[in-house]
Amino acid sequence: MPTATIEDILGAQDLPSTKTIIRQTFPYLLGTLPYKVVVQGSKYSTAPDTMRHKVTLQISADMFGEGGISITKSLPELSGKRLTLSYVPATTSDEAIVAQYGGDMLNVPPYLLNVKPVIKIDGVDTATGGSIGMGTTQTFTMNLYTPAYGSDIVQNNVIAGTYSAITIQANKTPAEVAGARMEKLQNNSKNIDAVTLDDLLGELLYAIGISYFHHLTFENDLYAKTFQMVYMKQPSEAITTLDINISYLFGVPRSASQGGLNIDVDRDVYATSSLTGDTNRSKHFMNLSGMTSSAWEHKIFEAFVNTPSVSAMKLLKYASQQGIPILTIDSANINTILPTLLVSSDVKTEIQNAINAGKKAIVSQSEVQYYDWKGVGYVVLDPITGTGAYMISGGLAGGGTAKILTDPPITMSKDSFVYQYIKSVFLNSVIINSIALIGTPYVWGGKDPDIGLDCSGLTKYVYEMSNFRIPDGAANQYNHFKNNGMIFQTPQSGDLFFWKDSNGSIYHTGIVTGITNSEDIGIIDAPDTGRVVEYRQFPLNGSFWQSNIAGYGRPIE
Amino acid sequence: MKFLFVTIVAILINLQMDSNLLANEKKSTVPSIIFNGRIVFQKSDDKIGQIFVLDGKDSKLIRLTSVGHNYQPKWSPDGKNIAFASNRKGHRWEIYIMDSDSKNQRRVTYTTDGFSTQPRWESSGNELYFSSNIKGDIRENLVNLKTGEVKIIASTGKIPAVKAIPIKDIIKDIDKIEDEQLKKMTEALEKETKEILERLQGRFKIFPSPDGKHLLIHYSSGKIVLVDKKSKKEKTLDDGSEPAWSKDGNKLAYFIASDELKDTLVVWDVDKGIQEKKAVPTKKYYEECFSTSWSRDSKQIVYTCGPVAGPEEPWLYLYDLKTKQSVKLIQGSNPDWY
Repeated sequence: MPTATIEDILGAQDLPSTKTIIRQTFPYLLGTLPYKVVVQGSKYSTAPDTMRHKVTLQISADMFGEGGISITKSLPELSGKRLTLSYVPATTSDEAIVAQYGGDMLNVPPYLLNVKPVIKIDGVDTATGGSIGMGTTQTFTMNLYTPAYGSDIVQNNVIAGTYSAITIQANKTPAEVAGARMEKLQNNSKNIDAVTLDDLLGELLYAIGISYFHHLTFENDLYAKTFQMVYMKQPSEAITTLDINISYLFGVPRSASQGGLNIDVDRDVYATSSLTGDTNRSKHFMNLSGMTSSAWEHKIFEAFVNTPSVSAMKLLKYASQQGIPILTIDSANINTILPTLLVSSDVKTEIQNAINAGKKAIVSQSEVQYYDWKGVGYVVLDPITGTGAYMISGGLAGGGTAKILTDPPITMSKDSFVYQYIKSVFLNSVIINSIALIGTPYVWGGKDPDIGLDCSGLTKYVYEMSNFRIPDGAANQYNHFKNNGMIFQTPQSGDLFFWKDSNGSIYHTGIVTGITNSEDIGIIDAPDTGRVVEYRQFPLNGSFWQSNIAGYGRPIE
Repeated sequence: MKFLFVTIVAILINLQMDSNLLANEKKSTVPSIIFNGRIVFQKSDDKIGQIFVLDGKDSKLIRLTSVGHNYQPKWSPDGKNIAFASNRKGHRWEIYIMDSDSKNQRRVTYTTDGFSTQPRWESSGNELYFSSNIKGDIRENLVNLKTGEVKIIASTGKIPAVKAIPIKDIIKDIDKIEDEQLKKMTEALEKETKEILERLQGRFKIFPSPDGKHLLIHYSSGKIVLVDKKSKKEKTLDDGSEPAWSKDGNKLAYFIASDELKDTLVVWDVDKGIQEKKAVPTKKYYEECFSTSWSRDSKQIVYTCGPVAGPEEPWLYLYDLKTKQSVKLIQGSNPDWY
């Protein structure tokens, strides 16, 4: 806005004035201004490089030195632009392989496919990396350079094959900007045959990022008025990603499937000032702003894709609803509380490091299961400034969808020949793949059939060999089937059975091979330490089976 | 070859457990339970199974293996060697033998396209039964330890190659196939699956008696059949866990699952039929008991009980046939008593 006032820029135009310019009258004309020059800076014909806001994007090379990218752009070149990181088939041969598999890279066994990273700005290829294997993990580094503070480096892992939009916000995001982006997305989706994948998926992911920042702008403006504050948004960024899930066999990526959506907001920075001079207001503002930004990390997906999603705030609230204590940890109680937390060692280490740095942490005592997502939400707060990091397990400063986006259920008629054939293919595959593991020793937590398997390691391996992806752990597998309406009370060949203890907790799983003589159920399972994967039979109506069985998971009804 | 049996030695069991000693198994001595002979068993070390031997005379615990994963130890009939399954040096599971002091560990089987586990000594000590899985063909084998020759005793037969099923591709191409052809393909697959399962249900393992007079056939369905080698007569006993012979070949023991809270230890006298049933109470949630082995005087049995599918290591228990009491011995599984 060329006519913008200082108040317009600071957003303080609606606030009551707190300073008044007092007119002074002198009896003579002053020869100089009544100020003393303390220091004078250098003069430049153009702004020097060190005084420019810049963003450098880097993709690490793989172990063979392939696939790396590094580009640097000024902040104005990227702000308001759709910046995406995606992967395309590396060569014409790779393109041909993808075409053979129906044009979807996820259908191709990842070990057959090489891809290369591409960075696009508003749909235009700006940088392309070298060839790497599909499913390879690369490091994505962003260096946001500001003249006042220098470099701020944000680093994340990215799996080759994912699609990400990087939303860089140089200032506030008003409704007009978010609205224009939504309009563009709608126009692109109406024109589906004439636009590129980046115009659809890239635009969707970017629109989610822009919309996220717009919601923060709207609510932060409200809080600023409430607390009589002014704030300026410093360059911030959010990465919105459509994930893929890769299964590995002997270290080789074996199959890929569509994962969920997530947003990772590693940098969301504000410069605040209280109009009343009350520094506590800054702290309250930052606290409230932090909670809002975390809440939008799940709400944005629930709004856009109508899928249950998680964020630190959502998980803390959900844990509390489940009766799990929410604990505040500081230097005075960390030694007592930390050992009692039933969370991953990574989360514990992060909390320990935060407390060592003089911060405090808020965390639920144990992990929660929310649809297909299992983990914990936690907040690391600076008690002086009120700034905070709102984290979820996995080191994500953000949120994401909580349901595995599996293949859609097969809806064809159960009586059709096609349906019956697919069902028999699946059953045949499950039986063959599980018999080939009979005799494998039980190893608790074992997932590698060459070494040993536990119960859920066996079922996951066999099902994945049969092209059905299920989570780790017997309880997670049960919940996955249950959440997708695929738990049944009468067994069929190829089902997974689930045993429950007296508290109803799932503790064991295995594969149902069938019912023999109408009375015995045949199973293949990895029972416990000291035993091997084996075929066993139990009386189906016996007291043991009936008191233990929680249900049968069945991917094809 | 006949076995030389040691004379019956009085077994002293101190039912008062020393909890401090039990809790600290890293020491060279463990429970204050005295028994005759040595029990070799597997025990997890940071989730990796290793083989240990517990000497009943002085409760000394000695670790015998350290390379790779090592499971299912079995004493040779003369007590000089131990056969076991090992996963080491980059190969899958294979059968190994070592001297009783852990020296001279040597590989016995070389399984192409599969793996071998569950060794069991033939009564002469010159041969070993073991199970192998060759891409889903589950075999019962007998290896001659002098010549290295492997005889396949039984086989469930070849099955189609293990592979990922391209269901998406099938769905994509399925419209091109006529219904009648699909029906035939479905019937063929169902027949194949049924036959594979029938062969699996007929699979068995062999447990030869130490006196060479009998064989126990343990089917994968759980059925245990006693075979008189001379008369070829068969007698079906029960559905139970893998059976174990007493050292004199007169008795055998195994577990049957009776209800959700108890397993029952069954002791058979080969000539007289069922001798005794002993319900073994468990706690917390369901535990399974398995893997029995007899003392040399046939007065005690060591067995394993542990929670199904949990991180907790099972325990070895000693059961005294006279007092009908069980006592917790040490955490571990698959014991074999010499």
